[in-house]
Amino acid sequence: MKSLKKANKRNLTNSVCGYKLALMRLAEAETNKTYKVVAIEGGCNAKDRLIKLGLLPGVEIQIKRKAPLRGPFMVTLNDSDIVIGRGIASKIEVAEII
Amino acid sequence: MITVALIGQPNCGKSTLFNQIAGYKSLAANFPGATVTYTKGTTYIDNELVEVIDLPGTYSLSWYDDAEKETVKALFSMDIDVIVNIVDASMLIRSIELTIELMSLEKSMIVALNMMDEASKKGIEIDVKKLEDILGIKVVPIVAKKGKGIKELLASIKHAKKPRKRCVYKKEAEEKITDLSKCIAENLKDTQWPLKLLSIKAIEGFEPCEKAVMETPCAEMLTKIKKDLDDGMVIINQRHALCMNIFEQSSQVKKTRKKSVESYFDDILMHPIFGYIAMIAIFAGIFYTVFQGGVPIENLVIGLFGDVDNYLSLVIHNQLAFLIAKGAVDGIGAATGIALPYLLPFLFIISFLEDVGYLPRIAYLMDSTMHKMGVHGTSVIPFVAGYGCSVPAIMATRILKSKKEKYITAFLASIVPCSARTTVIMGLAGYFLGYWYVIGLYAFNLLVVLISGMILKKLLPGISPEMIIDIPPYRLPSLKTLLLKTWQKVKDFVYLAVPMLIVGSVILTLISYYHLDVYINDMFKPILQDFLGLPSALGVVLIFGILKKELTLIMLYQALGLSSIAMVSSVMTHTQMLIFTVFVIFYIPCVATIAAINREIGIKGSAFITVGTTVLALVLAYMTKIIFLAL
Repeated sequence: MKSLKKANKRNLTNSVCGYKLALMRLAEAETNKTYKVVAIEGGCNAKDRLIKLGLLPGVEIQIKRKAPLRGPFMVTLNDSDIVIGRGIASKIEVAEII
Repeated sequence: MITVALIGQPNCGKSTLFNQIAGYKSLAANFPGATVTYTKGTTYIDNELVEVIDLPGTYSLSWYDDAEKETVKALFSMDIDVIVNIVDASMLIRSIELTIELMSLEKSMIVALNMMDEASKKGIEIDVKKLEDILGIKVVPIVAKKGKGIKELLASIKHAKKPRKRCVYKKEAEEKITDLSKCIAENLKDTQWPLKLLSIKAIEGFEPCEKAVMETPCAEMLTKIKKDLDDGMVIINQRHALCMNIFEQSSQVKKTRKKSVESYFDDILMHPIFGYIAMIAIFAGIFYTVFQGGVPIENLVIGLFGDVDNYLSLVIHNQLAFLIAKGAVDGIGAATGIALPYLLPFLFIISFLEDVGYLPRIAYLMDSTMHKMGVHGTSVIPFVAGYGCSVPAIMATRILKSKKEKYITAFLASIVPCSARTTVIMGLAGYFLGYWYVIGLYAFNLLVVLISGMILKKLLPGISPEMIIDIPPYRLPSLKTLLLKTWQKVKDFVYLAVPMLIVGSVILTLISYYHLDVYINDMFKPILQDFLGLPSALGVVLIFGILKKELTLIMLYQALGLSSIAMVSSVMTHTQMLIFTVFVIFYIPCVATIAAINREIGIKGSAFITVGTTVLALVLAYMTKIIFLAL
């Protein structure tokens, strides 16, 4: 997390592991673009379940659809689809793969 | 006798497998946490009796909700000889995480690699032999739904071995885990957890494990290790990398550019506009079908049993004997003729919705609406189950995380009309007043649920965490599974409600024969007659209704002293029928539901719900009276 904040301060885009990255929250991400999960912060319990469902740092993720009226997101991971609330999505730091 | 436990993640086809091997005694549902209590069954392997236990699905041994907690508790406390870990081949990476955790239990184990067909549809080809070598556990490929590979699986259960020891984590992490385990071994005697797993979970910050270790002298060590390993993220990442590695080594993925069937369905069913239209259409269709199918059957049976009654009056000349015989016949007639036409199709359709995987999708659509009631989308699952029967609905609140959510959902799920109350809505209001009244009553009920939820949200303290839910692929359940599941739900009605109906209807006959009804009616007169404007004879009916809601409609005409339900309109006005139906929808949950609420949210909760729903029913029924008398 520390290095992430530094990166945020330094520049919005950064290059990690050969990817060109634009850091942002999953909540601000767009549908049908591929992102890489950078970090998950916030409530321990939510983090735990997310990890078990395969959403953890380093994993590629796509937003498949967003429910209307500030509803939840449906995201695609390696091999499955999961739905997460928008509040949780705002606690997941992702980087767009350009 | 060998005891075999089936363990797997939600939606891996565990209950389907259980059905295949243990004589169709378990339920399968396509939503997380469907098997809410574990089911036992038996089977024979080479003429030897084997006990099979089906545990609720869990993503991991560090539980997230109460349903998962049950599984872990059962797993640790029961004497299990062989663990059969069911793995969804189409989601191998995620599933192996649980397999690795189970390996640390050091029990004899077999991996049943299920849904091989779905995996190959996704373009995944798994080399079973290779997977077996990497894991060090026997792997048996199966397709549980079609019964493929079951024989081989059963045969290998007898020869199941403990997993070959292997290190999951890198040397540095592995050493730290070992150090902590050693320390715990010396200081913590009474734990059911295998020490290595306890150490790992404590480092990862799983609260119960962390707390247990923090109370020992190893606390300092744990704190240091947690710091070194980035709060456990190091081991989580290593484990995930291992799973990915296992997947890559054992599987070949052919990229299928073809859009899956799911996406086509989801494009409509989860669409921001069409999704809602489809949802309303699906539910309207369900109610319409049940209503259209039910009314003719109700008519037919009423006629049939009327003839039987006439016949009886010709053969039996003793007045009392005739009344008792008639009471018994009416009880049977009512059970088969009035309850079943509405009950059976309804339970069947609800089972279908559960198994096909539509419910998590409704959870997605309804999430923002549900937030207004202090719960989130996942609560839709108990709600929809509530249209079938309140008991499983209440039990399904286990998949909810916070106490507040459970409380609100349990309250609201108990006022959703279950299929027994549906018989009153359809069979009384629908039969005499027409289809539009049925729609009106369901819409009214939804409105009351929404408003009650909003009030409860304000009244109850605590926050509601957001939803995280797995969206399973659509799966067409086999007819056999559906029929078995429906039977599971109807069984209770047949064995419990029907005898009660017969006894109840004989008792009612006797009460009126000896003119005892006057006293009972006097008791209910102030509430029923004076307050709600209903015949006070209905008091007995409402009391029987607390035992089993199916009894309500059936005993109604008997209590009124009529020979058949078709004559109700001669003693009750349409307004009275409406008032009665509204009261029945909302008043006290049945005994079985109260017991379930008691178990899930405690005695205070069940007392509150019992009183709350009664007050609600009185108020709403009174409002109905005022409004409809004024019209």
